Amino acid sequence: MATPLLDGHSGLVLGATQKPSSWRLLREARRLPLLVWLSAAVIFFTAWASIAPGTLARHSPLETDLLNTLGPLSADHWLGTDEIGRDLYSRLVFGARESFLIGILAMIIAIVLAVPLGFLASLPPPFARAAVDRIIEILLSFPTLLVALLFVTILGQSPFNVAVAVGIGAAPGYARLVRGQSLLVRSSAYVEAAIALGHTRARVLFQHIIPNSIRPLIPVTGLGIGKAIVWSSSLSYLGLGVKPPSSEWGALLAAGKVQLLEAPSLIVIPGTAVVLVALSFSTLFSYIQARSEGAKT
Amino acid sequence: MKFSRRSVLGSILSIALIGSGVALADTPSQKQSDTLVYLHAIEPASLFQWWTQATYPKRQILDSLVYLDEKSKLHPWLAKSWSQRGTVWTFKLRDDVVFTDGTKLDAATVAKNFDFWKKLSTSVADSFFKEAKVVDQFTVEFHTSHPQPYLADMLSSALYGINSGPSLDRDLKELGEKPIGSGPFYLKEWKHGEEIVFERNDKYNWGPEGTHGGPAYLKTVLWKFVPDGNTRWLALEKGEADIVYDPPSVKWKEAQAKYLTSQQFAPGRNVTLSFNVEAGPFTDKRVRQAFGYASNRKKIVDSVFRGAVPFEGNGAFSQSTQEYIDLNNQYAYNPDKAIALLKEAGYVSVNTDGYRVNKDGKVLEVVLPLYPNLTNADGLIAAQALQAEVKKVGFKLNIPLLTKTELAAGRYTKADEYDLYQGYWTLYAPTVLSINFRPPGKNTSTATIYGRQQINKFASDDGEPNVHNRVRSHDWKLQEAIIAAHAETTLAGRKGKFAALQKRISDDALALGFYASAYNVVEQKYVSGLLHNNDAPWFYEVKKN
Amino acid sequence: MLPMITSSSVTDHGRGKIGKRSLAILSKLGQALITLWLTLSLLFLAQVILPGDRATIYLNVYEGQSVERTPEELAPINKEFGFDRPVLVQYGAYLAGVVKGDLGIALQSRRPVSELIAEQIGATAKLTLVSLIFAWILTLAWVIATGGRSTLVSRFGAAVEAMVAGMPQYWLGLLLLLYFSVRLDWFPVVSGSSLRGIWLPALTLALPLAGFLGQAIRAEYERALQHPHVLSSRARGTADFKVRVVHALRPALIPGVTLSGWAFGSLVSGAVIVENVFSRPGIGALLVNAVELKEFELLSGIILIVSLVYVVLTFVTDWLYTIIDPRVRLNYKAES
Repeated sequence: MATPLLDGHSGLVLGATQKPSSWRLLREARRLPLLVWLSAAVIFFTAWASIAPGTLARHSPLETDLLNTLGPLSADHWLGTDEIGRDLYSRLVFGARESFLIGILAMIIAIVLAVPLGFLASLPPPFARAAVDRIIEILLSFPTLLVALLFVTILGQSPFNVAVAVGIGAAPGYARLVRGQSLLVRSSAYVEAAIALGHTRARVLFQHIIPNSIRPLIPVTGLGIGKAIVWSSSLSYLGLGVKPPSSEWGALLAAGKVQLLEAPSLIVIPGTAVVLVALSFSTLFSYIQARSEGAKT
Repeated sequence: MKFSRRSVLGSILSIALIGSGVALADTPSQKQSDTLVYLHAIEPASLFQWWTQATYPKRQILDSLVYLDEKSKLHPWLAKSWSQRGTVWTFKLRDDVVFTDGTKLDAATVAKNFDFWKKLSTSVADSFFKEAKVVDQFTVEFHTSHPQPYLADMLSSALYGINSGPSLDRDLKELGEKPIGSGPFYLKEWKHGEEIVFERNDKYNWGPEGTHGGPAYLKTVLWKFVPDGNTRWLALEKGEADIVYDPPSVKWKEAQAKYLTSQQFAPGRNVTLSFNVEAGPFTDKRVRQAFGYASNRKKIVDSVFRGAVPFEGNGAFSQSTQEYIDLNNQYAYNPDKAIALLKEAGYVSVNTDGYRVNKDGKVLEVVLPLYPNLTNADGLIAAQALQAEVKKVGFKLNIPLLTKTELAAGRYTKADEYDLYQGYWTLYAPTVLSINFRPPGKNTSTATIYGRQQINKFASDDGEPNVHNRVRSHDWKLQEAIIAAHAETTLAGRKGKFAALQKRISDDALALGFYASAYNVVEQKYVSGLLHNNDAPWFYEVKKN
Repeated sequence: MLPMITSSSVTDHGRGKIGKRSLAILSKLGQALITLWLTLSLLFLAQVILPGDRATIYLNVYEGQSVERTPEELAPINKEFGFDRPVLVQYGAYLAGVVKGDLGIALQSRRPVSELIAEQIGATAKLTLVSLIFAWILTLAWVIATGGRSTLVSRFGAAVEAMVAGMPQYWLGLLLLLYFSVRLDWFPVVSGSSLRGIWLPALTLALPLAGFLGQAIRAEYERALQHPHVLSSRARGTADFKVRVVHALRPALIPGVTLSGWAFGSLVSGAVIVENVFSRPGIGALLVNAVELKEFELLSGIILIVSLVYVVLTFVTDWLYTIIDPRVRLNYKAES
């Protein structure tokens, strides 16, 4: 989603006054708020499920059991079964990889597009700034979903295309951030000093402007992975993303929709998984962002 | 925190205002006794697509020459009487029928309709329709290309409903938007994506024999399109709808306990798995039979449909088709037999993924494309279960789910693109065999022609294609046997020949039955008079009490 | 009768004031038009890069046949739609068409895009508007209640906002549907266009938005609560509620208003999903259909209309600023 420029606080404001060294980080890790710990745990679990699903899952995701359809939570099926007896928990675990990868790919594409776009958009010189500002702001705030839908139409419906579409859709929002940062940095005292010292424009650009414009993006990227997973699952929910019988979480949503009345857990649980992962990314990286901002001042 | 009195009052007032909007809106459906709210699932793009879904709404506005009651007996409707001699059928029409555009029904109109049908689909000619001749003002002859004892049966469907003469001169697009007939209702408005509004035809006076004959009891029918089964069910539960179509299978038992239900089996071919016998692994009969034994279809259908739709083993006919025989026990689940057959066919070894390979190392891989319009949600799940079952003996079954664009563009219809086809065909006649098995002429394309019917291009006979021959049969002897079966003059003779045909198709495993093409309808208890006419619900006699 | 002496007539000369005002309006208009033109161009570009020969795609979808096309078959299609003209000429025709209100024809239904959109846009507009109102009510209530109090309450308020802001609409919507519609039966399930049916969908859209707005407003609000003039009115004994609502709220609204333009975009996005969850008619169903059928004209048309409203809204929020914050109004006059 085109993110407005916010403080990024989520109730976890910290007052760090020094740039944390790795040792200090480790020590302070013990003092981390509970929420951050939980978020990290969720992300870790998801990553593990992506890399080695076999170690976490108890059944194959495609293994049917026609005698135990729409089964309740049980010792053998921790989250119940679907209409043809597939174990929901195993499907969730195996689907993590695809969902995760789609989220990461989408973010990579978004950033790769956003950085040059953002810089380009920050170029117009001050006297035209006011007019161009407005136009650029409007263009870069275009709703992610609509752009993603446009590109799904062009490219077709497949997991890869969903990632690309969501990435393109999210890029303008990040471009705005890059642009904002770039404008800020350019007028900062630091850069003025560098120019006064006689550094070449190129040197100033590459040594100061670019790194400083991009650094705040890092926590935002993490935040964005969670959002990308939400967007791609929304596309799949509409039936325009990943299709059954894939175990990708969005596909699980689309499949679970059918049993909404009889077995709502089939859609609520994958949805909750998506929300948990997104929240975890959001919490963890907001925390990191707040820390790094605190470090800069 | 103190709130000012004014602000409290203000908020109460605004909440009350919004709340009154709450009270306004939904009066339960029952209260409006002359309006029926019917929730259907699939909305066609045009009412002249040659498709069951386009036929359903037409039943309310078009009359047929004959009426098929629920005991499968024919009654006079627009035709007072009819007779057959060889390849000539003669129909004598009523003289008092007026279409809603004011024109009168006569033999010329019926003949015009006949010519129109022939242009719409190759299946009409494949049903042995040849030409229509006007004998006198109210007598018309239908000539068939081969003896066709089931012509009247077929004509009872709304697929062959009678349109007013002048209305057929319109652009096909307009026709598809608003057919004009003589039915108990007329199509008032079609809000695409939402509903069709039918209004009573007050001049109606020619109901079929056995009905009350005069105008309908209902004044308005709101035929709403609600694709999601759960939504339809909930609407029924909340009293927001009077009749709903195709409830979720999982709610069927509950529906039978709480409401009035009816389960109709569409005649023709039920939902079957047709094998592509022209190219791919299924050219070998043993592989086809192995698939049959391994597919465990009965168990899948029982588990997925939970009694709402029964298993049907016959790959040629549905149970409500004339001369149907029960073949449910052929190809009963037997994985060992399947493996033995596959080994015989050369797929001896199994690779690391569990799929069989032949001596050239080629994996036993087959494709079953799924079309969202032809299979409902339960059907899609059943296909996934099928995939898991046949894997156990080593079949790799791919089930690509087609998008609407791909369907329209005819993807997966070439000989080398699919190995299995899952679909049904609704027709009240064993002639469905001819439609599904007649070999094509020079034009062997089986791309769908749905798109074509929306523009002024009619089904062409260039090279005599048969898009409905999904089996890709080139067996002219089979077609000849089908024609010969129709030519039998006695009922016993026909029954014998059609039984032989069904057995032949099953023994050769050209097509396997999967599940019945049932259409289930649930009504509120205060609804009475719902009629079913072989492929559509009919609201002519419905009353809300 | 003495003429009314306002601050504006004192600070500015009569004729000059009118001229500068209209100049400002004109420049805003110009910006709006340029934005729309850029959007149009980007859409046209996307159409052009659509893979596959356009005439072939059109014929295939139209006829339902996936076959190779001979040049003779393609010629009339190319002629009718002008696919064979140079790209720039097509571009010009496209722009000219849009100006006249012609957004093209949707292939499958063969109806003008503008007609299809006109039919469905009312429902979505209603939903969006009601959602925006809900969102504002929720945000204001929440921020006023939890802003600037003890750290625990304040942080809790902020945490809730952050959590709600990130929720996917399908999840929220499904939960609300399952609980309030199915289990409690407070709201209809097939909401259609009824008034009663709008509550849950609007709430689903409003909650995440309220989270975002809340986050934006909260910081400003808490800062405003510490302002000298607020503290002094407290000292004078003004009721807490009045202080919170009347004095502190005004400046805090600015970031919220800034976001309202963007909020519209996010609401339309969300509406696509919410309309699906609650089976409501509107642009959402149209969009999903357009994507499934690769109806590019329809898709472009919808995006264009959304852009148009978006641009208009942005300039409306600009104007709203001047009402909310007098400082902005005076600044605005000074610079124009």
